[in-house]
Amino acid sequence: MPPSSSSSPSDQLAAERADVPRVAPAATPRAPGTFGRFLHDAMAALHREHPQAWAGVCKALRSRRVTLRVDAEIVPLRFGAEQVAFTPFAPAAHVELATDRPTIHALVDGELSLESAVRHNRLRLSGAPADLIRFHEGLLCWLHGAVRSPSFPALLAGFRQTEGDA
Amino acid sequence: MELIDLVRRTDWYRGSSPRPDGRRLHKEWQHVNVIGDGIEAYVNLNIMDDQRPAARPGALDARTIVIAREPDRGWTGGVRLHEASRVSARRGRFDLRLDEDVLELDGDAIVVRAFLPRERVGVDLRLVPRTAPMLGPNTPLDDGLLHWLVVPRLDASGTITVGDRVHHLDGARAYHDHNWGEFLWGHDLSWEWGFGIPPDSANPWSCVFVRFSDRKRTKASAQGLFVWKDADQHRTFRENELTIVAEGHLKPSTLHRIPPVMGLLAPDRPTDVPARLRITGEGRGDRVEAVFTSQDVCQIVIPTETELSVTLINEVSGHLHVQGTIRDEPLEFDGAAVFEFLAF
Repeated sequence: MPPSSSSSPSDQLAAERADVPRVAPAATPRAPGTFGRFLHDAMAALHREHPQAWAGVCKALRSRRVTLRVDAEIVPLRFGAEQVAFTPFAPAAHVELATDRPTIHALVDGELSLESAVRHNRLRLSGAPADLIRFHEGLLCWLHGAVRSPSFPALLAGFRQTEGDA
Repeated sequence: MELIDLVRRTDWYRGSSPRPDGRRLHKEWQHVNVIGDGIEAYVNLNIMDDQRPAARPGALDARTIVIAREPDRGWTGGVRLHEASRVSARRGRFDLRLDEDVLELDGDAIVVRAFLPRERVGVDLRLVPRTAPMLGPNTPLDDGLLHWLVVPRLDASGTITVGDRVHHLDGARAYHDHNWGEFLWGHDLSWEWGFGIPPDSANPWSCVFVRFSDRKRTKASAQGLFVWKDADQHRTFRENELTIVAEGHLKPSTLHRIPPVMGLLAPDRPTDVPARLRITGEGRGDRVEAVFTSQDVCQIVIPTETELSVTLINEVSGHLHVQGTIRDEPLEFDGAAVFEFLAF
């Protein structure tokens, strides 16, 4: 299943029956221009365009809570067997990642490696070693799917254009 | 017959056809290398059957790759994707157009124009063949065949642009090949390839090397060292006539990857580009030794199509020394060259 927002059971059931990414306004987890919105749309694209990679992400992170902090924006996620939920609160997470938009762009542009980003404190990760290993596995599945999904270049370009709008 | 007429008659776009089981695995690319004073360029126009899971049946994946190397500044390059509606290619015709990127015949020359707006690197070149094409059909791969057409030596004139710098070429050395066949990135195949052209245009010799093998490079399926004298293919050392020895490993201090985002999936430095490749062809009283010394590498990182992994194409700039005797005639040359090594 694609990403979902926390919503009522009836909303969830309706969305599951529709079998489409939940990107309707009521289910949109973040406003346009935010990292959360980009992530939500990218997850829906990955589920739609590379189900194998999406399944790999969910398998690696199953039953784990992950909190992503990009600049001042906090995006808490809860992974299930086949889906991820954007949660409204940020309870204690198994993995926390904190970074900023320039670092994300530098990683995508090949100006910075993941290793360098961590070593230079531009990307901060915290969690138990076993959870961090699972997070890395999930991240690799995510990246492998992203580079094979036709929608990602446009999604990424849109995210770059919203710099500072969030 | 003029050399360009031989190119026109042989070097045409083949295009995709479905296999008996309905699958389409076609890949086809037109490739040019140029070596000038203070500049090298690599241009590749690709048209492939789109293997991405989201692709509709029969969809094409078209892309331009341009890479330039300025020895004092390093590598600049990238990949540009093209919408299928912006691709013009007709089976049986040479001319190819991907958006504004073009490979076409004009008089006695092949014209190649390609530009990557984002990276601001491109070429606008006329390539006049100095040698006849060689057709190498039906090389067996893991699950298909690869076909190869080579024009190992051309004179290149025009410009190579890197950012604000424009390099003017007049009679620079160039190499061209055309490849088509059916395979997926991730199949059990690998290759090593390279060419050598003397910097002295009066030197009549030129050569091309290729070896196809399995991914582990433990079993070669085909190999050859092809030598031209003037316009004609003069001697081919094949299979058991060849001894190939890789010595040491290139340890680059920096590594340029294309496209840059793929560096996240291939973060390691290459470990299997040889420092030197010694190729010896010997038989029927002839002997040629070609020694390629690696100097600098740029890595094209390709998403594998059979699993979630990558295929690495190491484009290696270096130096080639060729020496030997064919039919009691000595040959020797020495100069810049480009080799390519696949890795996984």
